[in-house]
Amino acid sequence: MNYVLSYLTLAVLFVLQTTLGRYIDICGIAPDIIFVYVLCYSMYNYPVRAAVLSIIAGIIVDLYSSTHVGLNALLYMYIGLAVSNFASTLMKKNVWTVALGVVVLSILYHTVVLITQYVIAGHSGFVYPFVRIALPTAVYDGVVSLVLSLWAQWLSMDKIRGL
Amino acid sequence: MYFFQKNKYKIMLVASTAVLVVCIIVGSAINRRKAGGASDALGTVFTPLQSGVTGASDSVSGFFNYLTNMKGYEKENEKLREKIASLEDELRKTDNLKSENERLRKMLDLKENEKDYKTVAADVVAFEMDNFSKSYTINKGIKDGITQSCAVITPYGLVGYVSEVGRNWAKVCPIVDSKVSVSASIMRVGNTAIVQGDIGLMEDGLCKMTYVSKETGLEVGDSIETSGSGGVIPAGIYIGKVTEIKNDVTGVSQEAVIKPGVDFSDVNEVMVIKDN
Repeated sequence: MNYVLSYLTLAVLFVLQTTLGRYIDICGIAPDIIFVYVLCYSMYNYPVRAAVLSIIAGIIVDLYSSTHVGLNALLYMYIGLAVSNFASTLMKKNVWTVALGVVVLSILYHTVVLITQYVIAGHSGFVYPFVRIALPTAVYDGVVSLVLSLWAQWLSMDKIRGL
Repeated sequence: MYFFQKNKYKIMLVASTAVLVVCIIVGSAINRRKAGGASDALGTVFTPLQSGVTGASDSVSGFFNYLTNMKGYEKENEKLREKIASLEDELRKTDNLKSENERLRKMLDLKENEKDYKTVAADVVAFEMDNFSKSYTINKGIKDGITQSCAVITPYGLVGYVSEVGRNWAKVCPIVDSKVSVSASIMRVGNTAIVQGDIGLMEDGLCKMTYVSKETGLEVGDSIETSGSGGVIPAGIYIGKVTEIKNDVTGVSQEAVIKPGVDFSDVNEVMVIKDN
């Protein structure tokens, strides 16, 4: 049941992010809710579960917005696997450490997206969008993770390790 | 068999990576302007849902806006009444000029130069997922006659163009997006230039105009419209006004900041020009 609910949550968050995202933006910056959910879910689940949900989330992002089909799927899968492995062995899981992890990983992910899809393609420089967009997005992602991590934790009650 | 069981995670990782890398290569090679099957399916399923959620949220937000701005509306109403009166007066004068123009045209046997575009109205139902882009999804697609590169406008001017189209949805790339560039004309002097999005200006709803010759005599306040060069977007669609002029990095030409006529933070309904 929780397995179905995990994917239903993904679908609902996708609709919410693409429709209501503009109502919760601060100075034009909206949180990357799907990405935050993938991270939170991965922190509380086994690597295979985390990787499968991450790939599906990445494919949705690719089909919706990316010009390179598979790029986000690949990034999400690696991030999901890495987070799941790291969280199960090294990390003490509470909402604050999860939020800190989300901020760090969001900075890394958005830097990769900025470089691969904008800087290399010649659409933009690096410093301004990194400071004006990637960093504030990461902070906002961290704030959103305080709520989403509780939901991801509840979804994964039967599979939680290390708690 | 033992090998596969022991290394199933590694095998899955390698296999998934290989499949996704192939997807990236194939996806990069394919022209995505017309949405592929999977992308179209995703759009077809989710667009009605997004349309419903956006419609409901607009209603709720509209209601609260009404409540909070009730006093302001009274003052605005008064100002609008005055404006209507002056516009009606202007309209009467314009009608006189129009009929005089028609009479003179007939006398000189000139053909009508105006073109009526076939348009389709659409609602904005969804927005881009990442903050680096400002694309919209609209609820009209191939079945409504929309094709890739169709120009998208509002009564205030050019919004952008259709970058990808599916059965019942289309993606609109606005002119403030860093991936967009449009051929433009400076109305006062008639010179052409390129208007393009800039990631540094995007959040403020501005774009820039590049390759403006120094001899052009560009001034702050000049109006910019589409030039029609390239045949993608029709000529004569208002883009915006020049707010700042500076020399570009080479020093050979100028660059200008443009404030578009369209407020990109509040685009809910658009018109798509079908026969450009």
